[in-house]
Amino acid sequence: MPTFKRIFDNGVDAGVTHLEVVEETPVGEEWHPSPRVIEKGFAEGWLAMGNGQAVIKTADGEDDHVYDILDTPGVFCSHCGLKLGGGNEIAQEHVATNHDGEDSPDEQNPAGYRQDNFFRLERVS
Amino acid sequence: MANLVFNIALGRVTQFYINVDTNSPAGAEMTVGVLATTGIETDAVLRDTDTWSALVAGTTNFVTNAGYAIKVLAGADLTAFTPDDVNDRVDLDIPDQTWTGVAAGDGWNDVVTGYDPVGSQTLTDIIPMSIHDFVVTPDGSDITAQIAAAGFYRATPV
Repeated sequence: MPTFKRIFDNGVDAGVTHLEVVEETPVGEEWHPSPRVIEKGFAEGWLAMGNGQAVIKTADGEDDHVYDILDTPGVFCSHCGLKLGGGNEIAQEHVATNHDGEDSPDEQNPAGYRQDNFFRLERVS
Repeated sequence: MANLVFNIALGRVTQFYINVDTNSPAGAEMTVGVLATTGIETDAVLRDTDTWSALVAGTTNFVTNAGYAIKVLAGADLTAFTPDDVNDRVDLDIPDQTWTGVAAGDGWNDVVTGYDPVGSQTLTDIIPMSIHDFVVTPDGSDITAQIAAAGFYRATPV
């Protein structure tokens, strides 16, 4: 959802100092960055995580963008939303044991469970 | 002074991506599908197609394995960075895509990405953007298409 411009020190590849937010995620809406985006943010210093929140550093004098971390990447049951342990065998066993015979409520995941390869964040300020 | 394309204008795929990222037009989505090995046509044939409907109008087909479905990405799933003016390029990333519990059946050959400007998920509306080699033999386990570190697409000046 958001669009960022990475602001480099002196305009050369000497490091990103902060992000200019060109298009922002509205408060209350979700953003699903991949672990690659998160790692890039850590490496370049414009993202911090802690206490259940992710904070994006914007220009000095401007408010940082704060997101609640709703979920981290993982495997989830499409029927009951339970976060399952790693591996498709555990997920398939959960669905077979608890939701046998039920159609998946998630059209994109007919097997009845999904793997989210992203962080689920919600903008709070 | 050489002839050049400005970084901000690199790549139509970039514009499609931004359209989805900013939900403009409203409902715009990105789609990710998988083409079957059997009947796959040549690059020369596939690259000329203008819609996902045309993509599978010949002998090429989407896979039909149980557990497979087209993935739909909306604005929340994308993170756009403005052009990398240091390296003169645009890199576009999407999360890795996992199809869970995919049963044996069709062999998988390629992942194809598309732009659905109206979010109808109708093949005639979806514009093909890129194809990526992805040879897999499903066996009931999960299948993940891991996106490259730089993303699924890079636009650079010619």
